[in-house]
Amino acid sequence: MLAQLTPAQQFDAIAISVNGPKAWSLDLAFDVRFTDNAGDANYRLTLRNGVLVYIGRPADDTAAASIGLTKMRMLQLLGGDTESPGLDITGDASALRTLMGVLDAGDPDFNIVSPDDSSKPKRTPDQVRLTRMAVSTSRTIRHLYVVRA
Amino acid sequence: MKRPQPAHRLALQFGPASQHIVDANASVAKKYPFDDRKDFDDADRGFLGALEPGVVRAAGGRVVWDNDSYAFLSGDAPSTVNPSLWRQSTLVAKQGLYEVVEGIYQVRGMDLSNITFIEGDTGVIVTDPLICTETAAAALGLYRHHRGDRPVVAVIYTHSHVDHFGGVFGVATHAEVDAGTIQIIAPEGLVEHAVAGNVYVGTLMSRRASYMYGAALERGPQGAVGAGLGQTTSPGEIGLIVPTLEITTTGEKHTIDGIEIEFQMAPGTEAPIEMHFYFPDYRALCMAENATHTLHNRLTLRGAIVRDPHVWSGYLTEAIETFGDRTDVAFASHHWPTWRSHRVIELLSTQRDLYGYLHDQTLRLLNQGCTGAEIAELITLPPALESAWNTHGYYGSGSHNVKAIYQRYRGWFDGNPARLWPHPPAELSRRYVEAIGGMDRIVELAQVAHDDADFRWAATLLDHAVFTDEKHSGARELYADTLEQLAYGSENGTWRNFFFPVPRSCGRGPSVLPR
Ligand SMILES: [Zn+2]
Repeated sequence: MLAQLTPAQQFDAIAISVNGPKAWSLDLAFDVRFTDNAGDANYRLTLRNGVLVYIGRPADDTAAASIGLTKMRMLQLLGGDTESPGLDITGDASALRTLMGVLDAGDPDFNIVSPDDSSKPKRTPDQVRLTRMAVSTSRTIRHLYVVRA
Repeated sequence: MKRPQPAHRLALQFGPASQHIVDANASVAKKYPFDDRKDFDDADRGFLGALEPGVVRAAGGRVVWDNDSYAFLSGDAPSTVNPSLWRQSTLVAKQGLYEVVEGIYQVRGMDLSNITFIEGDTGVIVTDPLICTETAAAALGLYRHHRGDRPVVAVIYTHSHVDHFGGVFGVATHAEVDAGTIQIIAPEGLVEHAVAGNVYVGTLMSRRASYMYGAALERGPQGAVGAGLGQTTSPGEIGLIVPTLEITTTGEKHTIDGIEIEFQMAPGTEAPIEMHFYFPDYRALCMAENATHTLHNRLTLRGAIVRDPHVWSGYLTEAIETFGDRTDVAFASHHWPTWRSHRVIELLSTQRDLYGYLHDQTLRLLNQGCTGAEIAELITLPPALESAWNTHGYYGSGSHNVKAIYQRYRGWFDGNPARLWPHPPAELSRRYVEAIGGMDRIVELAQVAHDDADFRWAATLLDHAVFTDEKHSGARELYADTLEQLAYGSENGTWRNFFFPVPRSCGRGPSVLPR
């Protein structure tokens, strides 16, 4: 199952949790390399205008930080875990925390028959869990759910 | 300042803008950088000459294109047109033959779309021959008048929409294609999708399209001013010659009449079948319809399958990576080109971020429990995007695009049980009118809403009223005036066109309501 989880799907999962207004003044660039990936391909992630964009491209020195990690460690990172071992960061580590700081989780308990906005709390990144992401509708996220199940 | 209006184009059946709309439009004029004239410089650059008069007729004399009918578009916006839409229409209504670079020419303002001529060793490659035979032939004539009588050696369709292939018989014949003197080049699968889109649901599509593009609407400050993407559609003869060369793969290269072309497939973007391509000899990039000077549609109001809002951004990123650094000019099949590599990259990135932002933020808020209609009101663009003119919703809108993205992922049902099985519109309306206290009462409440400038609520009340009794003259009169106010305030050309054709009861306009 893990073999089916592409880097693009993982980056999509981050992109759709970026809180636009919180993020739109940021201009960040990362190089991300999956250390368990055949060929060890590098991806350039940029966050600008509140939009996370990724593309396969060789690493260069224009990124704020370069991150090497396994697919499994990426899943943990998606869950908000920037502290556990397995993250090989060179460059500005605070840039990654800045990115994590503008991610919102989904709300699995949202109101449907009443419009009460107070039941739609804003969550902090450390509350993000993969099980929550399973309520997402995106095809790419459903993969995450399958992987976990 | 209100411009003098040509008398024969005055749309007399429409009323004036209310004070609220006058004020709202005045505030738009202050909000955006109208002194930024770069788009005007680009739209005028390379002008070689116009068709004069700017009218194209069918064989029997029937007018299929009358660009001169938009001559009223100059100077400041009148109170009955959103100044931002007025600005866009002023740009889009420019008509003529333009040099993109030496060897590449476009005729713009002769249909909804642009036709592009790329000169090769012996003849000319035509890209996207407009909607109908008549306008395509007129455009080819204008090109030849300025550039000589070069034979057409190939036609490229960028994608499967009718405004990009329908006029092919204006530039080519079956005999020439059969004889191999003209190649027809298109992305693989174009014919199937062109047929599916235009035939299977063609009746609904053309009925709605007639509203959306306002082709039959009176033109003028109190009528149609343009559809944002192009001025309107041309009602001429439509045809299709099937491709002789199908493009299937990104990176594929072909040399046509000595001109090398490098292709990038972009399926599932603005059309199900679409491609971008690059001319290394000219350092020129054709972006089909995926990077234009408007927020485009995720779901066009004429009706279509919801476009994938996600891959569109991805293909723009790929285009930047593949072509950005070696592109001196990018052009598309709508609007004006963009020159210089850094400005091309800026345009493509801005469009990419715009579509990415709408997609990602819609999904984020959807996962927090908001419905499409709620998200449509919640999303505001980042200031850096909003300050770019090409992100404005002249053709698509943030509102209906967000609802489309929701629909794409979630469907029409928002999860609320009361909305699972309500009565159909006429049954619902009859009950609302009864509950509110009858026709006169609901019109009274609509008048209050209208006076408070809550035109959206007034329109909802009056929708119920006319669905209950379409002959109630007070309801119809107020309904027409309410929708006119929404039209006058709209930045979106297609919204403006949709709001217009509600006739009044008093003999002005057609005698039946649109159904
Ligand atoms: Zn088009």
